[in-house]
Amino acid sequence: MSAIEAKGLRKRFGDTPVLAGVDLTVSPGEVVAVIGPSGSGKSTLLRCLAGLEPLNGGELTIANVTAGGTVPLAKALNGRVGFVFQNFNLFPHKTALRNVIEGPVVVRKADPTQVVAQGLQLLEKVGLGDRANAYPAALSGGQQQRCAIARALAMDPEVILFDEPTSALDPELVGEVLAVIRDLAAEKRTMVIVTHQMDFARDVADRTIFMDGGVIVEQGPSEQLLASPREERTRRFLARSGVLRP
Amino acid sequence: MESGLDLLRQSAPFLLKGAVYTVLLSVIGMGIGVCLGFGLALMRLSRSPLLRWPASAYVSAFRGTPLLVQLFLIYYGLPQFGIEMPPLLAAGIGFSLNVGAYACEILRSAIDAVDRGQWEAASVLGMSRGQTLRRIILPQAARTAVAPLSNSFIGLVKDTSLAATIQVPELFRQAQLITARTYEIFAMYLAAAAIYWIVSTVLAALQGQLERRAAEGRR
Repeated sequence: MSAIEAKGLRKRFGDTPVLAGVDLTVSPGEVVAVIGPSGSGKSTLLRCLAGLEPLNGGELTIANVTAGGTVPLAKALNGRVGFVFQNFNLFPHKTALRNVIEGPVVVRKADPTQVVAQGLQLLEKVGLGDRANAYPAALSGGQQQRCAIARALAMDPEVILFDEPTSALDPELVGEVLAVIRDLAAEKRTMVIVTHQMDFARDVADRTIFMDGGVIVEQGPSEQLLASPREERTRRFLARSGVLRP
Repeated sequence: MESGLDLLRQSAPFLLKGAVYTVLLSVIGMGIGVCLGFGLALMRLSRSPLLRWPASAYVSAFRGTPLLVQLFLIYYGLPQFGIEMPPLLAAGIGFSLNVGAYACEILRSAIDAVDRGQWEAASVLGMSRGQTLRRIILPQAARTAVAPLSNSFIGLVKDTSLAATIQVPELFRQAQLITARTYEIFAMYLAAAAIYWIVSTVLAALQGQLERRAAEGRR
C-alpha cells in the first residue's frame, strides 16, 4: 500500500494550467524532495495533496483517503497528513504548547492532560522544551518553524508535506530546521519536501523529483538526479542553481 | 452668578436623569447592534448567496440612510401599520438596527483581515470551518475590531441625542425642556455638551485599555 498514489493530477488557476497531469507514488517511509523553478507547480502539487486546493482532474489517494468523496479531502484526512508551511502559520494568539496541542484537543478530542505531556515531549524533540509558554511573536523564525513541525507531528501524521520550509528564514536559522527534518527522515517518516536546498535534498531525500511547467520532468535517486540528470531541462535548472557546472 | 449656580443646582437632577437614558440607549444599541452585526457578518462571509445577499442589502439600506430618518420611520411611520411602541423602545430598536449595519462591516473586514494561512493551518489539522472560526479566526479578528467598534460606540453616544426628536427624555431632550422654561439657552446646552464630553472621554479611556489588553501576548 502506497502512502501517496496520484495519477494524472490536474489543476488550473483560472485559465492557467498549473498541474498538467502529475503521476506520483510515494511508499511508506520514503522521503521525496521536489525541486524546480518557481511557477513549476511544485507548491501547488503539495497543496493539492493536502486538500488545500481542490483538484480539477486526476485520481489521488493519500493516507488511505481518496480525494473526490462527499467530504472535502482536508476534512476527510482529519490531520493524518501534516503540512509545514513556508510562513509557519502558527496561531499567534496561542503559546507554542497550545499551538501543538490544538489539533489533538479539538479534532481528536484527546484527553488534555495526556496531550500536554505529549506536546511538551514534541517541543523537547524539536529543541523548544524551554519555550513552551512563549507566543510565536517571541520566537525566532527558526523556532517558529520547529514549533510548526511539532504541531504537525502532534497529529501523528502518516505523511508530512513540507512547502519550502526554510525559504522564509534568515540563512543562519536554516540549519536548525533542516536538522529537525533530518531527524524525522532517520525515523523513517514518510515525507515530501518542496525545497531549494539542493544539498539537503541530496543528503536526506531517497528520491528527488524535478518539476517544470506543471509536470514531472524527471525523477530518480537524489544522488543520481542531482549529479547526472538525463533531461536537458533538469540539467539547465541545476546549472542555474549552481549544483551542476554549466 | 448666584442665579446661575441656582439654575445649575436645580437642573442637575434632570440633566443627570437624561444622561442615564443616554448611557442606557448607547449600551443597548451597541450590545444588540454588535450581536446583530456579528450574525450579518457571518452571513456576508457565507458561501451561499441566499445568505450573503440579504445581509448586503441590509447593510446598504441602514448605512445609506440617515439615522434620523430611520428613527422617524420606526416611531412615527410604523403606527400607520398598527405597530406602535413607546419612544424608548423605538429608539432602542432604531439604534440597534443602525449599529448592526456598521458593526457588520467592521467585523466582516476584521475577519477578512486574518491571514488566509490561518484557515489553511487549521484545515490541515482537520478542523472544521466552525471550529476554525471560533478558535482561530475570531480571537484574532476581535483584536482588529476593538478600535473601530469603540469608535462606533463613542459615535453612538452622541447620536443618541437624535432620540430627543422622538420624545425620549434623554440628555439633549432634558436640556431642551429646561431651556424652554428658563431661557438659559447657552448655559444649558453647554452643560449638556459637557456631559456628552465626559461620557465620551471615559469611553475613549476604556477603549485605550481594551486595545492594550487585546495587544497582550503578541508583538
